[in-house]
Amino acid sequence: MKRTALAGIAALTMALSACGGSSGPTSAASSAPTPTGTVTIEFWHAQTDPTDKVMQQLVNSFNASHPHIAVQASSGGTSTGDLLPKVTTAIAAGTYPDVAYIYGSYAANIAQSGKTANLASRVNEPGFNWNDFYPASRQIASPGGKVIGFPALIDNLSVIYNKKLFAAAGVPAPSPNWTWDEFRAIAKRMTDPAKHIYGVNYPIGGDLLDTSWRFFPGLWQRGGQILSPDYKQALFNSQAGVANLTLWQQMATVDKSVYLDPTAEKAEPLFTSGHLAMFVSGPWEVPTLNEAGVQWADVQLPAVSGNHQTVSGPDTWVVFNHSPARVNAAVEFLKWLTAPQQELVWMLGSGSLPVRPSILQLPGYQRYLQKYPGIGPMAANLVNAKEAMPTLPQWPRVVDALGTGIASSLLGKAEPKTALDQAAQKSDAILNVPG
Amino acid sequence: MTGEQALLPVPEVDMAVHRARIEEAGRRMRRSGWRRHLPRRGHLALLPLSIIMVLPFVWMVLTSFMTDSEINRIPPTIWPHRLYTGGYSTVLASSDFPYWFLNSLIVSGAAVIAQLVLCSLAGYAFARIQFRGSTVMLLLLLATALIPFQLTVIPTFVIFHDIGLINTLGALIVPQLTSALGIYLMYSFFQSFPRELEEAGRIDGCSRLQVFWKIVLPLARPALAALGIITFIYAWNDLFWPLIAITSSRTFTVQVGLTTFQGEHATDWSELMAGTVLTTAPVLLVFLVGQRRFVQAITGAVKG
Repeated sequence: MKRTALAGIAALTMALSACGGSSGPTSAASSAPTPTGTVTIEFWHAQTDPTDKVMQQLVNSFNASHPHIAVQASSGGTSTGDLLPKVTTAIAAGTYPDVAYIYGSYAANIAQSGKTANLASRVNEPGFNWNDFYPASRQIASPGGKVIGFPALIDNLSVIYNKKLFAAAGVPAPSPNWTWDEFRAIAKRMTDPAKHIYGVNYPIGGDLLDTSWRFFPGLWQRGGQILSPDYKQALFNSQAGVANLTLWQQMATVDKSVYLDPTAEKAEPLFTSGHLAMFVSGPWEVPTLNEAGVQWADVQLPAVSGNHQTVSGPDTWVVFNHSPARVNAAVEFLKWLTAPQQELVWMLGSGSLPVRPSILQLPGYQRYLQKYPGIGPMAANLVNAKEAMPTLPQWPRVVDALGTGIASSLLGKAEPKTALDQAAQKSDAILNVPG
Repeated sequence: MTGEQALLPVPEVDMAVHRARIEEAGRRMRRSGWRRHLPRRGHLALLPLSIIMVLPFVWMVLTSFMTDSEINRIPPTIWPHRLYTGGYSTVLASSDFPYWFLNSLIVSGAAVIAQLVLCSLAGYAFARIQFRGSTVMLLLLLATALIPFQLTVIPTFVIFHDIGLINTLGALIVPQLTSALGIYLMYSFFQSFPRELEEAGRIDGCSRLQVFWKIVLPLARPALAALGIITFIYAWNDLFWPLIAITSSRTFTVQVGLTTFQGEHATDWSELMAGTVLTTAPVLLVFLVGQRRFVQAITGAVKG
């Protein structure tokens, strides 16, 4: 919900950017006193306590080892969500930083501003190991064919389950090779209205991106697509999409095994309190689950024909174009920051998943697994994040239309096909208006 | 009463009647004072409403003394099992909260002082000084209150960037030095202010500024208190502009600082609630101290 509100403000400021009266790309970085020949860049990382300290240590290391570049780091404002309206205002005013953390879903909107650098010709140079980043995060960083930055974060959805509840119900732990039919049967068995225990969760309110992106794995696994390749037509109402939504709708309305989360924030306390057997969520829950002392484990999503494809919501370090020298400095900094060794330091401090598969081979990776118990299967599940969500300016409005349709179907107010057809019709109208 | 009149003998019988009247008035006052404290029928309706209003504050305070596990428990924990103060110690020791609090005090304090001076001067001028176009100017001024700040944020940002105030407290103070609402509030008050008092001052030889300073302002205290409270609460609670204008953590105000306890997926509820309690306290204090004058001014009960 918070993200949606901020997104509205961001969209407004983006829309107003044309009348921003930009006084040229100036920022604190350009006016800062620096030694002769040193290029100063401004870096908005959007980290808050305690991860901002880890990021500052990394920046200090870079500055110490790269005397010709001075990175001025700050959160840029506050958290990742709050940074968005700030960046869009700065773009409109011409005071944008050199590097900023941007949600993947807004990469296309930011790219549309015309202030981002295009690194397409740079990232394939030797030393970048661009193909070492997971494919979904590379796609998100490349809206409209341009490469606007480097992958900053990647996550994915898996099924977290309460081992104690499963043992008490005499239900064996889910097998990694499970199917959606098995998933449905387990959810039904675990549901116990007398004890207020639900089989599984599905968010239907708050941020509708959350409602939509849980729908995509089942769609992709059945061979469906979200949009046409030219982003002009919604395809999620295909047979694959209807079959996928029908499964969830039957679980919600017939089996009554789904907790329909109205705010997308209730499932976590339900799970930690022993009232939710399976929690479809991601690595961001690990610290909370371990702190709450829940006996949990996680397993990859169920499969269709052995395909366990999941969805990922990668975020990006976007590089803004002030001058060639500053873009070069920003690229050198990000190349260093996203290298496996530095990424491992960041992962140890923040609990984030690896953005590159090669990090899993580093000797220090075992320390990461020990520090964050249970995160290993989530990191391994990244190989199932084969596809990225579309990156286009209209995307936030498309997911709103789709999320509304999914919610109405799960609430039993519309048949899956009708709900998806209506959402597709709305989406088509949105897609055919320039973003 | 002149000195000569005071020396005249007072008849004995009148004094007795006078004393009786005073005693009766005292009895009446005591009775009405007692009645004032008795619950009336209206309180039966107000009591549940006040509980609804107070409940979120009580919940906030209780939550600030719970661990995150307790906060996230279902069914919800109503009363903390033990008084957990980790949220407060984290907020006060591990974050820049003291800086944020001080910054908010500076910004809100400066805004209050500036608005009291500038809005009362402008409001008095509109109410008392006839000049060509004064009505149009007042209407234009009021019209600015109808424009949402979100629409003017980019030009505002550009101006403040160009004058080098972005990421300083000056960027937060300057836009709040005066306000259309404040000028209109003071204008309304001075419109209903008795002219005779000012005319008496002018006859005694005061200049217009002296009349304003020595006669009008002392009697305008309820309106000034209301303006001060409104300005303080607005400046203290403002989030959007400080979020846009400030980049460094130590220059944040409390409202911006509080958002750092909310992440993309997770929220430190214990710390967020502890910070919110500490942030809400000054606003409550200001309102409780000045509420009578605030209500007087808003309801238009003050006539000088």
